[in-house]
Amino acid sequence: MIKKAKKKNYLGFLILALCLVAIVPMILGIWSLVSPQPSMATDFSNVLATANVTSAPPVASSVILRDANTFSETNIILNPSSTATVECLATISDNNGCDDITGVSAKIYRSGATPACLDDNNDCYTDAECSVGGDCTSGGADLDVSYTCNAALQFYADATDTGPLSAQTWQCEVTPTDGVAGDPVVDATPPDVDSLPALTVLPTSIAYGELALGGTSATSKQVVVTNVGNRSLDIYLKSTASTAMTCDIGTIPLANEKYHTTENFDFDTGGGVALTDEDVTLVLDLAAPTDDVDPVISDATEWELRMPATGVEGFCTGTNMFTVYADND
Amino acid sequence: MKTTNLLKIAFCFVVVGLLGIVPAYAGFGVSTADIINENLLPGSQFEKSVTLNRTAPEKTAQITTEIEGDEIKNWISLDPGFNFNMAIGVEKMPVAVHINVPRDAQLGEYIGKIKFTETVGVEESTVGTGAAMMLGAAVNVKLTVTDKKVRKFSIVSWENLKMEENNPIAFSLGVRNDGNVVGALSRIVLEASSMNNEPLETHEITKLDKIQPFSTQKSIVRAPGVTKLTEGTYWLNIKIYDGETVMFQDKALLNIFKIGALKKGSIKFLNIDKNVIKAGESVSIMSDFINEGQVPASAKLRLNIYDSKAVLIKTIETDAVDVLPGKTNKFAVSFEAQQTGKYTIKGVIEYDGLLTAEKELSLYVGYAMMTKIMFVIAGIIGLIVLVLLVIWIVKKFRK
Repeated sequence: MIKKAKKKNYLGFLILALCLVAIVPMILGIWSLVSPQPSMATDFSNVLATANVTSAPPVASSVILRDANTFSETNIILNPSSTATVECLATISDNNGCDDITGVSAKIYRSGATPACLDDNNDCYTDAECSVGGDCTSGGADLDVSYTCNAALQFYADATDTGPLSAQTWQCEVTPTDGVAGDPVVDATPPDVDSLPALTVLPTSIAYGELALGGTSATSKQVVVTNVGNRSLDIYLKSTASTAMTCDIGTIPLANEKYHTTENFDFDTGGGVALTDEDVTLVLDLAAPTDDVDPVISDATEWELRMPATGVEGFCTGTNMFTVYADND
Repeated sequence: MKTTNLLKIAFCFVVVGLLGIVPAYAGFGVSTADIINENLLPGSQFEKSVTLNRTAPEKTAQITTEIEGDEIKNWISLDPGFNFNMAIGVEKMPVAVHINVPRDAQLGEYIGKIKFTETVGVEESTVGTGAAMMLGAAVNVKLTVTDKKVRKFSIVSWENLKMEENNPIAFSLGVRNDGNVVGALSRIVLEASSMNNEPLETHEITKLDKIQPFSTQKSIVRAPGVTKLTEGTYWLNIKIYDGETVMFQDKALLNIFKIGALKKGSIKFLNIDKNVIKAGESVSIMSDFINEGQVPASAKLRLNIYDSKAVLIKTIETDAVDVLPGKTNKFAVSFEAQQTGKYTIKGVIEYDGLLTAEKELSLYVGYAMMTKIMFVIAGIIGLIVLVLLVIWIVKKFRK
């Protein structure tokens, strides 16, 4: 009886053990099917995950061309016979992060010259020097950075505020790159380059030498007028006084000093214009320079003096005024 | 004798004296060359800036201005006047040309010139002998007076501003009204999109400031509602309409920062011109606000005025003004105290929903002179009545 009871107990344990052996793997199997994947992935820790991030092209925006001296975004003012600096500001963004941006090129040009223009001091400056601002935080989160590009416009850069090109403006076209160039972007509110009628005269004074009473200059004295601006010019001429000159004794009348554009013109019959104390136009049609190699556009005025026959003695002085204005004809 | 004869021959020496002769080799010019306005109405006013420009500023130049054109001579005035100096070292000098067309001006075209001539100081120009050359530059003036009303706007600048979350999108906008009537642009549509150009939100601004004819106005424009965009970088597309026509469009980056990252301002002081006044008098209360942040702030001064029992009796607010980063704005308000007593005035600047620290000052309000006189007269009358009453009572008791 006791043996039979022991056998029954062993059999029960055996059945229980077999059940456990069957149930545990089944539970583990079901768990493996419904459990989250990461627990599985942890079993494969040596697998290397790789991906290639597509390079997004850089994009320029907020392009502003302005006068570097006045910071005016509407008018650029040139300097007579020298250069004036303009600056082109732009924000460059890159969805890969601002670190990805490698550079910017800028072209500054008169709109009618189009971005395809070649270097020409009248209307196209392709060599603007660009520098990056210090506002890029590396790491990928910061997407944009500022750039400033500078160019020195010559005194004869085309005027677009008034005159024959007044329908145009000056543009800055910015092209960013991160190895591959992005699309060029231009200034949305382009400024004008202002007209600059400006001149110099040489020499600074007329030396007539010694003249006898009633005597006339043997040869004409030359005063060269040079256009140092960007518009075609004419000039007004006048004496600043009601006489041509004042001497130690007496005065020289206005009619005794004449000017012309022809060298050694005949004082009486050569068509010389007598000086007046009111502005009189001398049509020079002095064009704005166009030659980058030799940008000097000049014209000569010739001057002669006749001493009065009586009533003067000693040194004589006078002042002649050259007033320039844009020739719109 | 021979010498005398030679003198009698009376040679005139016209010798160039190099010393003291004006350095005319220096360049001189003017920007611009032409002042042209074809849309002037009778009574119109406009201003144009021209810049005198010279290359050798070693000496002070006296500038004399002359207007050519009898009809327009009286229409033109200059700031800084018709005669002024360009000091040593000054190469460029702006001159504001103001043109006021009379209300009774005849329609038609008016032509003239503004001539600027450069002369050096008297002491230099009179030394030595010779015929000196002096320089000048003239601006052509062409004005057309018409009876046709013209509406014409152009955008001269726009710049998107950095901003914090939960604020209206704001930008600076420069608009030039080249027309001859007061007017405003019709609307501006702002569309914010992701950096991948997915549209996110749109704002429409319909209330835009009116701009005077022939003038440029640069102002901060804000969208009517706050943005729901969170910290990050976005594209902002702008379309500006004149009527139903899109006259301008562009896009710029919109950088949005966490709240508190950009805005910072403080109240510098709170002052009052008089601490003791009479009832019915006014005081001026002044304050300075400094924008120490990185973005423009819309700021206003708010004053809370308390009586001697610390009861709030009045709140005064100024209009909000835009204060650019790094700039200071002065606020001033006046307050008329009707009641006597001690007042406490507490002032604070509110800027874009934020408040500066509070400043406090005191005001004592006494009786006005007339009130004092009335009190004295009433007192005297009362005293007389009292004395008469006492006399009457004494007499009555004696009886």
